Amino acid sequence: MNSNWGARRDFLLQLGASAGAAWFEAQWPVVLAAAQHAHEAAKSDSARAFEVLTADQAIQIEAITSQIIPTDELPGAREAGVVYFIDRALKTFASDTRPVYEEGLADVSRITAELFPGIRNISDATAEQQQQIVAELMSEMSPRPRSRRNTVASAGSDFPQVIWTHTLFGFLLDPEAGANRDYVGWKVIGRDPAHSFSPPFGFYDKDYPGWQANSPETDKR
Amino acid sequence: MDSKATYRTSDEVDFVIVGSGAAGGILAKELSTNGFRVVVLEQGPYLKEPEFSHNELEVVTLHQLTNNPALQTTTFRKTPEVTARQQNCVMYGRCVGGSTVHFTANFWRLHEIDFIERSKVGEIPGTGFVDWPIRYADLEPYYTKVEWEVGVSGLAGASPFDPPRSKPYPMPPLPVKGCGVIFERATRKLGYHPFPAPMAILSRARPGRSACINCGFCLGFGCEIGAKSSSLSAMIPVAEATGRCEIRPNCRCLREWRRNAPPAPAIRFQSVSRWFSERERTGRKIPHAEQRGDRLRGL
Repeated sequence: MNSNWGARRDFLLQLGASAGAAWFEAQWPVVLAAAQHAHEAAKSDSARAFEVLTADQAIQIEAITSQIIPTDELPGAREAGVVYFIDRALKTFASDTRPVYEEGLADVSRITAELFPGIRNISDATAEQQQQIVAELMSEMSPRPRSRRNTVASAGSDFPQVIWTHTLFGFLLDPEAGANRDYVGWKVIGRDPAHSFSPPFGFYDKDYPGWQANSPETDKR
Repeated sequence: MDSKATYRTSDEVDFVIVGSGAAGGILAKELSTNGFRVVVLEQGPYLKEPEFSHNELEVVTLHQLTNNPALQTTTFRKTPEVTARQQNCVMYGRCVGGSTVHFTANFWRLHEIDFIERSKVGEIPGTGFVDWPIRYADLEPYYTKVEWEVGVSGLAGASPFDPPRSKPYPMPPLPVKGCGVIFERATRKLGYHPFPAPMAILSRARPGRSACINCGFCLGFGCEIGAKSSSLSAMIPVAEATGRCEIRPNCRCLREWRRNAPPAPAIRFQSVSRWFSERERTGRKIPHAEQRGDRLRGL
């Protein structure tokens, strides 16, 4: 097994453990619509027109999301078409976070200029520089709220939290609903997209003979 | 041919059942197959197997099958002196079939001692701890009846601690998955008695219902192939097929009272499916089979 698999999988599982943004809840149909949009966009060979994001914003957002779930020997947010999911999200269930994105992208430009004078956009930076920029951005993220109700508030106003959550959902949403191209998100976390299984299920039961009765001596205990 | 009953609101039926879950579904089936006219009021939607999915966000986070705490808030406080705070302290199935739709489907019988703990353990000061008024032997025929009617997989006699049973399980146990194999081997080494758990999930197909495909999405999810022996899959179709049982989804019961003339109790409910209105339903009897949390609301 690739040594990177474990680390990536742990990282994504940790992301998932905190993915309770309750402001998603009342918006499920449009979430699905956003996911489907991303799925179709990611499948198509030619880039689809964005509905909310400008081309420049899309490039900046993809640069950020590609650092949140980077591409290496494994696929990342870019391959999953996360930016299309975000575009649709801003059109539908998360339209109220458009100002958050606008302000957040301005913050990213500020951080970029502070860290690397002369570079205006994160998309112009090298991969290593982008990593530092996003690390700095995430360091400004509010501490993870303890209660679900607080998550709602912070997720609605905190750009690092919002884009982090959107990236996660755009990467891991059920592919039947859209969102991740060619099941890349599930491949990275090792989730088998099959719907039915039969024994033996895997390593641990491959030589399982079936349940055996306890010995009479054991049963007397 | 669709034999489902549709009663007018002015029709007096024999029973109005509040809730369609573990109790309500079985009541509906038993009463309707014995000739009674039944209306079942369910506050949640009537979802069918094709509408179930494995989408964790939709089902778990967005409460497809359960009450939404954002819309039906509950509060909790430990003592009367403190201020109650909003807390999601009640979660229940909010759809036709109730919590049997999303339950894990473990299907245990109580043991004989469970009915006589007061006699065995003694008094517990400050409590009303008593023995049950019935014994395991009184319930055993009904355990067997429900196991065979809804469909329970298991292996009789595998547990040395099992109470007596008049019949084996109607079908063999489900296959043991990897984690179960590890658990079985480890506990056997420790001198325990691992055995296949009885599950209200079909290991063999039944008419209209598929055998389990081992997808692993039992807890919290609806079964899209009807293998889970929920009220939705196992009982309500039988009740509806009698032509005497009407399931009314999206109905919240507001009030219940006894009218003087005719001498029958009535229940007022609010339907949100067809139109937002209050309607009155009259039944000779109104068994309450709702989840304990909402039963408290009713009181």
